[in-house]
Amino acid sequence: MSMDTETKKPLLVQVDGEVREMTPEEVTAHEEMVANSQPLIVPSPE
Amino acid sequence: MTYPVFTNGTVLPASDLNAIGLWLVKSQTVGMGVSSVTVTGAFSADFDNYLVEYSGGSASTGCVTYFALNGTSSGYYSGMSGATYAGAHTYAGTSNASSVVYGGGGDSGWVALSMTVRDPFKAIFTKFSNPVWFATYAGHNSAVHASATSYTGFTITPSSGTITGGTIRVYGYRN
Repeated sequence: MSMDTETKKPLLVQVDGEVREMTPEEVTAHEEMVANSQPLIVPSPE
Repeated sequence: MTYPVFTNGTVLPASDLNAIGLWLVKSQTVGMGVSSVTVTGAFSADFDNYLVEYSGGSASTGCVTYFALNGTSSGYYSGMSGATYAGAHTYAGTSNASSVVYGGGGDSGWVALSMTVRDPFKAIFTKFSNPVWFATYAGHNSAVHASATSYTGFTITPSSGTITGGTIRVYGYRN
């Protein structure tokens, strides 16, 4: 029986002209940033 | 003063050159599928205020583009006001956030950021102002980084997915 394994793509960071994979620490910081800062839409009261 | 038209071989008076309002400080192309782009060496004592432009690229999904001064992870306070494309007023604020949250925007086929950054190199609060574009609304944002610290660069991060291509250009406003 074959098993499908889902390979998570590495997150890439670019610093000036260099593109590389994020370190584990950078991944943690990045995921925290995008998780905690989702854009909010607050409709005006009618 | 009449705007000068330069031609090859003509003498360039200092008075004309010294009237140039924006000076290209740094240009950086963006790679493929990156989750963030850091630009170093952008801000210096040469200019008090800067214009950062990012265009020509594409986002993998609808996003806003976070903007953070390098070496920071908190201290951003902002207010955004705009309208949904259906015509309803929308607004949001952030308090002690890890970046200027509403820095710009993007979606499949485009990504853009156009931000005035005031006093980043001086050891005083840095101020930001910029338009905002998102999948469901557009508006304007102003923000402050509440730390009297000097910074020399910044990082752009899409709120979701990745960004590909385009060019980030940093211009200094002549003092």
